[in-house]
Amino acid sequence: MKNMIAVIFGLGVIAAPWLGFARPEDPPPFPRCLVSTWVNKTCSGTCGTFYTICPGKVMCVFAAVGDFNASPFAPAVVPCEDYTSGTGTCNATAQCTGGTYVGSTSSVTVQVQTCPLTNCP
Amino acid sequence: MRNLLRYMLIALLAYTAHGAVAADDRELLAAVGARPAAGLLVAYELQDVPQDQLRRIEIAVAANGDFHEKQFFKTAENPVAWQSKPMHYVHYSSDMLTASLPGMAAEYTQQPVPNYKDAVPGPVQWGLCPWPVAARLCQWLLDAPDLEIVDFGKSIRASSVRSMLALEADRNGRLLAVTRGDLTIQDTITFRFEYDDANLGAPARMSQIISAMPARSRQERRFNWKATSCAELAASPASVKFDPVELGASKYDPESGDVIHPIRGLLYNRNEVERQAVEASWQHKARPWAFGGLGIVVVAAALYGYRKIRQG
Repeated sequence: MKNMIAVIFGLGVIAAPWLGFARPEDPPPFPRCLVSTWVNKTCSGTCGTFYTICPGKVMCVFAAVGDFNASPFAPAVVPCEDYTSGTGTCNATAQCTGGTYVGSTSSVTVQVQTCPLTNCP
Repeated sequence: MRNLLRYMLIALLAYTAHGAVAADDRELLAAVGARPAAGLLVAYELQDVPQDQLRRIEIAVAANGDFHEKQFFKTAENPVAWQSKPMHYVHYSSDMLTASLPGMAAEYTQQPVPNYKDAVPGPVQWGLCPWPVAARLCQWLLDAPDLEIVDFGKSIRASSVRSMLALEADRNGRLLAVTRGDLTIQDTITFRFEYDDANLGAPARMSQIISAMPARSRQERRFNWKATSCAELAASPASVKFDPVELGASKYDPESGDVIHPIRGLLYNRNEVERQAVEASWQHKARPWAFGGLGIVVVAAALYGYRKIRQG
């Protein structure tokens, strides 16, 4: 019985930070912006003529040194961005660059973090 | 500016009339190239779209081909004022191509692209403001072995499939349209211009006609823009400059993943952030299962203990 309780307690200690019961993070040393950014982007189409870049995930990053906000991700529909021209390569891992933005005609459902409003200058 | 366009038109007409470029016409073209304007800064606002899709373009093109394109948006929270920072920007000068990251204009990449503006048909941004580089575009067409010129009476169209470029000009020497892309399958973007008679030097409206073939299925879109301002750039090359502080932007180094603010220095490492994003997402998905598993263990232990107590 004692062994069982010890095992459960040990599991709880190990899993607590992972389950979100950890001590809250220290506040940032100065006001910091949280801005959303696309990660794991994909590029489809032809670099040089017409291509579309979509996010693989949208998350928040601090505009200063520090940890990123690890608030939960939720599925959301995010519009992709269409460009014409540009240079480089366009595939699942590389993005064409330098094109001009020409709106959005497609979207993807990805995991998205909502960035809370902070004292953003 | 008008003289420049007039010379360009005359040169094109001369070519049409004789079927080949005469020596006099080449001298004329050389004169066109020898008197460029310093450059232009034009602002456009998108028309005929819902309030939440409004965009504003500011495009500066210098006579040497350097350019700076910025696109601004309005937000649903504040549909009246333009956002102070552009949501998209591309800059080229001193052989460096600078571009904002998709989905995050607070970061940009910078890479050396020598001769970017010397490769036909030139950067797409020129199409937004082609007048400072009209002589260069015209010369590219005149040098093309497959140049074709069609006379429509009130206007002419010069094109070269090999150069992936076509120009249209009216009899008054005004540039009517610039098309770039694969002309054989119409995988192109066209910038078409209209002028007000009262102000011959500046464009009044611009249309972007995109005829693209993503995945071999044609997509056609048209954006109508109204020119809200047009000004000559200062003669200094620095008039087309990239200022990351003004844009509030940080440089992303794809090699190391470091994101570096021009004043604050290193902000974070994007590679590390992306790695954490993958882990965080995985943890988020696994968390309900972990709660469930832990609950089952606790209940099982409680039942086991209860049974032991009763037996004891």
